Amino acid sequence: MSTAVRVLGLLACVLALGGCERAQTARPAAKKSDGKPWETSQAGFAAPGFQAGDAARWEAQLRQRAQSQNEYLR
Amino acid sequence: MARMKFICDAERCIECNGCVTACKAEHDVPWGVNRRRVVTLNDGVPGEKSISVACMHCSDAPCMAVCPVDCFYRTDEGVVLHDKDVCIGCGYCSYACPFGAPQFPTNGTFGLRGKMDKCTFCAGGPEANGSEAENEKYGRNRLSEGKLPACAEMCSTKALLGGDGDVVADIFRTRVLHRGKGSEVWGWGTAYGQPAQGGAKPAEGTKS
Repeated sequence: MSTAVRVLGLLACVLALGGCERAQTARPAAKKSDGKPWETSQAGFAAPGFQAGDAARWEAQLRQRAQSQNEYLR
Repeated sequence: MARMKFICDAERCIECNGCVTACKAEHDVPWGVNRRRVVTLNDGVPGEKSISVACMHCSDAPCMAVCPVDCFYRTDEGVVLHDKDVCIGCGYCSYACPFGAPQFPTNGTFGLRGKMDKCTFCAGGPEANGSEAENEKYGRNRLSEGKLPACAEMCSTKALLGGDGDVVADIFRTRVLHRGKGSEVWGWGTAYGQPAQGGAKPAEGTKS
């Protein structure tokens, strides 16, 4: 009798612990996707004339900045 | 869309290390990590030449090709970046890179486990632009603020040019034509067209 109770108890424990188990599928680490540079920006540091979310103004701003390296245009 | 590139003009670089300092300060790069450095050939000999070197954001980047965990990616602007959460710090990229760009910090916020760190063209990483997490791992994201890399913008002699590859190549080409020398070097024709298309004869007494 006591043996049967023990076996039943053990089975109950196994079942209870089995319910706690999580799926253990191995997933490779995946790199995160990056956002567009003009999408978000900290307003306090943004270059004057550039507003976050405006791709055209972002490109214009970078073009202007790149040309500032050309002293033959100054 | 622009493809971001650096060009360093060896005729103008005065080895001031302003670019190195600007990079260090802008991104709070820890001691022992040099995202950018100045290399001098024939140091101390008359006619020595210096250039500023960092990640060149290669179009066919060897670091990207050899990475076993595929942590690199290229943005639409042609900037080669990596995800430090995926990087395992194996160092393959360091062996593959012809410029010695990948750096491996041993302590500090840039990688307690020796994750790779390199020039980001001041474009941060995959975290949200301008976020604290991005700043902590990759440094400041100037590109998302509508600015060019700090090293190029800080260069006092404008030896180091950064920005859209077509624009900086055009600035460099104009410069060489004005100075009247340089277009005779190997590879000039491939990069900027044959001398007949814009090359110039060496001029006496012209400044670089």
